[in-house]
Amino acid sequence: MKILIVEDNQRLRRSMLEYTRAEGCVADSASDGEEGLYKAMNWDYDLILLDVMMPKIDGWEMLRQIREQKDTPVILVTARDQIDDRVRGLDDGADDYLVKPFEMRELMARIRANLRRVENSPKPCLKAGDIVVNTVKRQAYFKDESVELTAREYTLLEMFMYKQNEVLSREYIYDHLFDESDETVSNMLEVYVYKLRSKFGKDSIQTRRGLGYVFMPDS
Amino acid sequence: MIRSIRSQAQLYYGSLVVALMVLILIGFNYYERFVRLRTLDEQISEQLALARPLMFGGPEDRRLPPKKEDRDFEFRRPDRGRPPPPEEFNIPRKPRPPKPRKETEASLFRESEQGEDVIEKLVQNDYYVIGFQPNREQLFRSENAPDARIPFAKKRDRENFQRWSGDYREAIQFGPGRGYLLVGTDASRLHEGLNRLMLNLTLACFALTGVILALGWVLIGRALRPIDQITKVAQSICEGDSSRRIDTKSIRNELGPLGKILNTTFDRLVRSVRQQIRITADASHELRTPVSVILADCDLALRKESSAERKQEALELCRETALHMKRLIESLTQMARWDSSSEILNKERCDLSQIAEQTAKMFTSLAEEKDIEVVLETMPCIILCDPLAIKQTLANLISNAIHYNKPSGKVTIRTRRIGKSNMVEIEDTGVGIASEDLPKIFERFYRVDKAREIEEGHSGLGLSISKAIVEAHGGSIEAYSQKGIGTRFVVQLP
Repeated sequence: MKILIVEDNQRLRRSMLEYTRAEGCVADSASDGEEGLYKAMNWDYDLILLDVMMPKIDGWEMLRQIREQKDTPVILVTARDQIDDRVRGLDDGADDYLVKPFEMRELMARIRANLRRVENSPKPCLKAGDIVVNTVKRQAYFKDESVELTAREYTLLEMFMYKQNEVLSREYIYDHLFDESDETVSNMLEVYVYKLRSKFGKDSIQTRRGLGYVFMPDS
Repeated sequence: MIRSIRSQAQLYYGSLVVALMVLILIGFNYYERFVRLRTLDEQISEQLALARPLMFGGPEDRRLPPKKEDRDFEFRRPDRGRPPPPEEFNIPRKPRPPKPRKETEASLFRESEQGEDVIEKLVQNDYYVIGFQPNREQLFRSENAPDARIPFAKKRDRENFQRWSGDYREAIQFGPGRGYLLVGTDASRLHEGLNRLMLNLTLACFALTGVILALGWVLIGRALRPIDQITKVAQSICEGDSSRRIDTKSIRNELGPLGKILNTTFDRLVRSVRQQIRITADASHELRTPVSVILADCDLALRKESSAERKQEALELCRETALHMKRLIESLTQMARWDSSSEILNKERCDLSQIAEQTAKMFTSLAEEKDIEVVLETMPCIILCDPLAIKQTLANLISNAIHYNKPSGKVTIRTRRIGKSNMVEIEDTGVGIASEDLPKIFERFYRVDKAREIEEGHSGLGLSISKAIVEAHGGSIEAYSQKGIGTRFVVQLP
């Protein structure tokens, strides 16, 4: 999953970025509202973590502008703990509200919960044919046996599980697999697809020439 | 109920009114009784004069006591205090006639038609008449006379007097050697009349007291209405509605000034509570972000896969953030201190220019490091101030002037005396403050450049504290700035 962290405090931003990346998220960051809005509008994020009190454009305004064009889930992460602020944030279109100080575990749980809600699969375990993915433990099972996956492989598998039987373009997958700091060559994607095929069956991921890949675990 | 001022006042002055009424009633009763008795006695005397011939003969000496020269006896009150000298007893002043000269005349008159007319007239007038011989034997009596009249006590011998005999009022006249004449009347009508009058009067007094009390109740209520209002306002403030105030315009007694004082007190209380709430909210808000940083760093460091270097780095970050929090807390405490009152100032006479020079010296190394020239243009200004607090203010302003300066910039510190006020100016050639930010820079936690907050260890309270200190001295602080050219802070002290 690909998330955007908009936070003006440099240290907090760095720690959040590191933590979410360590948890397998593909995370980009922005240090102020302007940059955040630009990134949110120009890339497709699965989720945006948004601070409210920021220079240039504040969180409220950013949320309003995002909601004019996009449905990307937004979690407000802010020091404003008043009920009025929470109500305002949620009513303005935020999906969740997290008050600082928070623990990273909780933030991750909220990120996962919001993603499940978007993907319409409230259960933490995703099932497709013989493949089971526990999104909390970040563990995949094939025919009831656990499968060793690298973080990238898992991220790709989870993305395929959420988007079963959908054609995913190479750009989409690429965007959601690598963050802005990754400098990978474009054929890395083929390598990961190859590895997943070798672990879950050759036909689980099919190539649609010129369009992208489709995950069809049942075939 | 007795606990209210209204009831208490009512009780006090009500008792007073009732006591006064009772006193008036009693006094009036006695007075009226006295007046009526006198009138009655006069009437009886008149009747007695009428009846006199029955006992003492001819109408020629009707008046009693007779004039001194006409008197044939010595009319004397018994001299109880001083007995007459014994020799006087032995001197017979006038030989007493052995028989009353006019007795026959009187008895003749009594038995005559004229005498009967007199008695009849007396009886018609509701009087009775009784005659006694000197030996107290009844000589004659009218028919309406009550029975068994005991004439009089022996000690009242030889006296003319009035007396009560039961409900009857009687007048007795003594004729020496001739006996006693008693004229009386039933005085119960006098009592009845008096009693009726007193009853009516008492009822009227009751009614009057009632009216006075009711009027008093209303008037006291009116006078005390402000208390009610004050209580209600105080109550609503106590319950959290801080917007209500006492309407002092409608209060015309001494509760008006009290109301004003209370209103001022309420204003100050509300302001200080609001300030306190704001400080708490600001503080908690400001502390949230560093705590988040610490938590996030710790969470990261505690991950299994994080390297030893990362853990070390996280620890250092945590320490740095905690230090920032410490500074923040110190600033907040100081802020609260300066906000609370000006009593903590240790005022003494000192030279403002010297304070400025000493403060500037503290920043020599920092200024050199940043290649900034610090210029002092001071003139002596003796003022009464807390030198440490003023030093802190100036240090804050100079530190800002150096930090936000351009490389190889200039900081000018001036002290001046204009009229009664003393001024310190701190001017820099720095980045300046945008005009939209300028009014807000003295607000708590307001930062023009947000990104620099933690890096430079600024709490966002420096200018607020400076302002609080200057205001505690009764002075003012103002900022003038032009973006890109520089900023000038002017501190004015009395």
